[in-house]
This record gives sequence, structure tokens and C-alpha cells, in this order.
Amino acid sequence: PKEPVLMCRSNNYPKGFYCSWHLPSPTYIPNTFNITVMHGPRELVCEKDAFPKNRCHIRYHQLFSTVKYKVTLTVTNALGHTHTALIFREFTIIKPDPPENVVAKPVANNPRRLEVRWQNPSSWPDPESFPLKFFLRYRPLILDQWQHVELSDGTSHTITDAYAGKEYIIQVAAKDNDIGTWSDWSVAAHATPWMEEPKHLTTEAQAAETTTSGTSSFLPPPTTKNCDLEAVVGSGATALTWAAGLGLAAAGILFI
Amino acid sequence: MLCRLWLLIRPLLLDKKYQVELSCCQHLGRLAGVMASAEQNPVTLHHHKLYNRTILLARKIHGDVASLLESYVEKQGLDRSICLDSVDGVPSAAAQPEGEMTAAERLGAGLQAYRAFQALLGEVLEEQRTHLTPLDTDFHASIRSVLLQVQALARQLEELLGCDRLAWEAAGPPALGGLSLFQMKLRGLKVLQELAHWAVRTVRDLHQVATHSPGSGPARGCQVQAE
Repeated sequence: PKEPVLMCRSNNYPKGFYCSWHLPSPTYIPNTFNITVMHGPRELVCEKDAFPKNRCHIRYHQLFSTVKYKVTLTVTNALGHTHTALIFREFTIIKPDPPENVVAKPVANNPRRLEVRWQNPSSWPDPESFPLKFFLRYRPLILDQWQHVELSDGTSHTITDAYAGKEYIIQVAAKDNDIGTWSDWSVAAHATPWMEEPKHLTTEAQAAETTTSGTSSFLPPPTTKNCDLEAVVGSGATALTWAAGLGLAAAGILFI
Repeated sequence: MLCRLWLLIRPLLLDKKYQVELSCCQHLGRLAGVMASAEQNPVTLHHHKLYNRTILLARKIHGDVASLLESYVEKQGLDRSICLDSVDGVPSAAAQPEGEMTAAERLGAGLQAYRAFQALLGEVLEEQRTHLTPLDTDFHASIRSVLLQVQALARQLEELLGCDRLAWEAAGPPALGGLSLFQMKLRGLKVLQELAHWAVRTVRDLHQVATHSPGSGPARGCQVQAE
């Protein structure tokens, strides 16, 4: 077999880490994999997962150790064997899973704001002792360039420079405050900033008809602003009708 | 119990030449309760602010030492992966994941380690000035900056833990003899590596103290005599 590809990662620090492997190309004959994990002179047990089969996990027996880990994977089949090894320190393989449940919502009466909330990855076992920091990126769908914000605490952020009326895509990544690397980006959230509702002009006849039809006539839209505007527009339309009538009457008298 | 614990961990942390006479930290057990109810009175508010400052300082030390490590290996011509098992006398940050020590007791262990690091960094600095990089004053300044931060961290931990330092007896001026140049380089590398890990450990311990629910009463004070 060809040399296998081996990867080790801790997404649940300080509980432990896992190693996973695969062959770069299929052999089409049965292969057996044997993995050993050494921490200095001590051999650690790598418990194989039921699923997927090409993964095993190790519990930390020590934390904050400067002694390196060495993981050796041997692949054997009827045609021979090959192996590969990884050597690393405790902190270098720490990589949380992405934040979960990323939700973005518009902010009422604010056409340039979006409120984003998320949760710590559920696999991160002790966020109080090992708090995470976050990296948020966002862009309107119509543009390719991302905006970035790094957040040292908290699981929410308000975007204040969104383009009005444009749908946004937002993602978040996580990292321990001091050690390890950034997670992959989260599942994307989509949101469009709040927009003012379009205004409708009404004539006096339409206003009278809706008044007799039921109790819901001239119900103001949710925002007070629109209600005021519509009242103003309505009264203006009425005044215009009266003025037009007077003008016609005056023209009629002159004609006579 | 704390006296027995101190006698157990002291040989693991300190070389015999570092002699410390320390009045036991009387507030170890109470510290957790103080942190958990931080804003109820001026004393606890002060502790809460001190706790936050200490976390920030420990994190800064970690960042600065990480940068210093990069330049150290380059200037000494070392490989980061070189085996340092033969280097003795440097406090190891390695700890059991769920040991018997409480977070406050681990902070106390950290305090002892940082006192040892003050002396070790002093020796590393002197070795660089005298033998290894005599002309690289910028590099010396970086080491000294870390040394000063470690001193500040030790003082803040003393204040957090309510420790009274009766006497601090180091081994006098740094001892420059006894190590080859290569051994000096290796020891300096190990000092920086372990110090970086201690800083991460201390940040974790401080966070744990902040979230620990008050339960046990205050620890009894005791006198620990140096050998």
C-alpha cells in the first residue's frame, strides 16, 4: 500500500484528541491499520471508534506538557506494509469545531444593522476554563469581498455597516483564546437588513369605501412613521380634491 | 493538608538551591468563594479586578514568550524539535487533567514556579550577555521584559492568594559556571518552553477559580520552613 495520510486533532480540549487516516488510493484488497501513540516514553491507548472505522481517540493523561506526542500508523496487506508518523506538541493540534446555531436577524428601524448570535460548539467541553474567541465574516451576496470582525468574548455581534436592502451571508469561526488554531467556518446564516415598507397613496373614495366595509379601515402599518406619513398623504389628497373642485367651479362660472 | 501538599510538590518544582520560606497562603480556600461573588463588596470587587488583570498578564506572557521562542531558536542555531529531556531544574507545567489539587492550590504551585522562573530567566539573560549573544542588546531586552512580567505576575498571584512573603532567598548572583555553551542554550530553550505552558495553565486555573462554587471553608495557614 501507499503511505497513508494521517491527521490528529483536538476539538474537545482538554479531554483528549483523535487521529484519523486514509489511504491516498484504494488497494482493492483488505488492509489492516495499526496505530501507536507515544508521549515521551509512555505509550497511550488509542480507542478505536465504532464509526468511522478509520479513527481512534486518546484521552490526555497530562495537560500543559512540553513533551511531544508521536503517532505512528502502519498499514498492512497481502502485498506488504507501509507506515507514517506524526510528531506534535499538545497545543498545536487544538482546533475547535465551528460555532453552532448561527442566526442573523434584521434590527427594526435600522436599515444598516444585522444582529448575529451563535453558540459555542457543543464538543468544546469546558468553555469557562478555556474560553473561545470568535471571528465573524460577512458580505452581501452581490459582492465577493468579506468584512471581518474578531471578537474576544460573547456570542453575539451587531453588524452596523450593512448595505440597506441587500441580503447578507454571515459565518463565524472559533479559537481558544491562547492556544491552537481557528475552526472551520460555521454553516452560513442569511439575513437582509430591515427596510422601510413602501408607501401607498389613497383617494377619498377609497378611504370612504374601506370605512364602510369593516372595522379594520385605515389600520396603520407597524411603524409609527409610516402611520404619520399616510395620514399626511391622505389629508393632502383630500385637499387636492377640494382645490380641483373649486377650480372647476370657478372655471364654470367664468364660462357662463 | 496544604502543608503536606506543599512538601510533596516542592521537590518536583524547585531545585534545592532555591530556598523559599513562605507563610502558607491563608486565603486559598476562600479565594474561590471570593471570585464567585465578585461584585458584592469593595474587597471582592478589588479581587475581581485583580483576577482579570492577572489573566491578561498571564496571556501577555504567553504571547511574548511564544515570540521570544521563535527568535531564541534562530539566534542559538537550535531546532525546536531538539530533545530537552536531559535539562534539569526547570519547573514542569505538566499536570494531571483531573488531579486532587483545587484550582487555587494549582495557582499556588504556579506562584512557586514563577519565583523559580525569575531566577532562571536571570541566569539565561546573564548567559546570553556574557557568553552566547553578547552584542545582541535587543534580544537581551526582550528576555528582560519577560523577566519583569514574570515578577509582576508573581506579585499579583501573591496578592490574589493573600500570601505573605516572609523571606525570599534565591541562590545569590547567577551561577555562570558548570554548563557548557550548548547546555546553556538547551536550558534557555526549556525555560522558555515551560514558562509558555505555565502561563497557559495559570490562565486556565484563574478561570476555574472564577467559576468555582464556594463550598469549603478557608484554608488554615501554616509555616513552611525551607531546608
